[in-house]
Amino acid sequence: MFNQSSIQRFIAVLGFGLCLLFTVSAQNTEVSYIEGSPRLRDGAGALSILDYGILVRTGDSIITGRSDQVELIQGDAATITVWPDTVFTIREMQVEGQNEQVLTAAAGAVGMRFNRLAGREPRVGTVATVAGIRGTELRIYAGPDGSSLFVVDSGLVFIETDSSAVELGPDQAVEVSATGLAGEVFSVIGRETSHADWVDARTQLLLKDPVAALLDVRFMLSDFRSGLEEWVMKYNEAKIQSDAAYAELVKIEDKEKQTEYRDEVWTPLSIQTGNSVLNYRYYALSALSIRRYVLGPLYVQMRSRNMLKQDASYQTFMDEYAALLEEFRSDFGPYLNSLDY
Amino acid sequence: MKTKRSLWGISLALAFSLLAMLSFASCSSVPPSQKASRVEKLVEELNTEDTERLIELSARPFLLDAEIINREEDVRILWTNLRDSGFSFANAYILSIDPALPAHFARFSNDPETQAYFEKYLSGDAALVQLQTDYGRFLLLTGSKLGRIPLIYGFTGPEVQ
Repeated sequence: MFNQSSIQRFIAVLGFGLCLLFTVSAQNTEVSYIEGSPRLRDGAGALSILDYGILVRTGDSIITGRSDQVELIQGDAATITVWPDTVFTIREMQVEGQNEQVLTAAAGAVGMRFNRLAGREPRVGTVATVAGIRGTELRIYAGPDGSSLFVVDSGLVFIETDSSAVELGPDQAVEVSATGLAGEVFSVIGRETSHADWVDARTQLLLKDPVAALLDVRFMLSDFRSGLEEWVMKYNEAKIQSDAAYAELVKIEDKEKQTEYRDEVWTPLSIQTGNSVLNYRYYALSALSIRRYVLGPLYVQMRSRNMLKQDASYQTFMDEYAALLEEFRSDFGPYLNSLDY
Repeated sequence: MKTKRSLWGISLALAFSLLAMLSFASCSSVPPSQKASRVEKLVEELNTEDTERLIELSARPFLLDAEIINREEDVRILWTNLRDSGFSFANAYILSIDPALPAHFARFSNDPETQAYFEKYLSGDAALVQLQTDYGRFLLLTGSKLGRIPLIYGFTGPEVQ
């Protein structure tokens, strides 16, 4: 017969197994080439200098400076180039019962080449837009305002946001606004897009109306808040069911029946609870990326340009910024911890 | 006579050694980040050197008010804009230098992110430097060092007085 401690041991093993499952189910991402001194920020927020052969795991970010560049490989399946001044993150979420990697250029630019034509491929994008792909070579540029530019070199990219869906073929590109609106698909032949020029153009637009940019940030955050609320609700429901099943489990005296109940009822409910945590954390961490790589840099721009001259429009920006920050802390703060910062 | 002279020599050598050790100990006990002359040198460089040097002198992540800045490019934007707008820590003089402990985060900004920054990213020798300038009073975070000069980990201000 199981006693309380053996069940607790099982819970611990199950928890560890779930963590392992989340880690192993994702493709191993290995550092294959380094220029300069890029840094790795692990899931616990610890910073270290990136080195060859390091496995970049779910929850990790790679941060490159002006003279840095990194190439990552996922076996034969994919090659990812992290260009200068970029923050590249690997996250994971549950989609239709399966764990999916989400590879994100939180800031800056990345290039990705996927070699396989079949099977489940990761989702890719920026802090605001996530795209599905099929055997593709593409570049993803993250704008300072939360916008994205997808440029396809070969294969197909299917971009779906809440408000639009676009399919891109070779040598095609599309800009997606911070609010998820995809622009016209255009050909890049004879119109090579430099990341620096594109970012510069977006920055000039951003600075023309920084208060409007804050509204876009609020829109992006509200999108993640909806996802967060949905999965927190699912977590609460799953937790109640899982706790009730556990209470039943400890009451069963017959060892065989207890094992059967554990495997068929309690374990699936526990996994469901774990998956809900994975997903609500995904939304909370995505919101933190917007806070860190869109809202933060916008604040830096405004503060440093107006240190000596603080007119009414600057004060309006600061008031809106403070209100937005307060909303962020109250909505997402409870689901983040000091390691995330 | 010879013994007396050699004893005098040994005593002299011991006294010198003790003096050297004491002076070494006093030098090494105050890290550059908490030493006024080194912090003054840092501020001087922040006011006069080019952006690339300022990026070298800035720790990452960098803390501006309550904003944690991870990217080198954003640190570059900060210093470039400050320089272009004509800002500097003009005519700065140090009002105080105190060791910066994790519990002191609220002196900078009272929020969970700043608290996490103080707990995770500050070096063991970090200091809070209160600086009076022509543009008001600023609070600087210093720590670690590059050569003989401490790094700047962040700043906030000007304080409303």
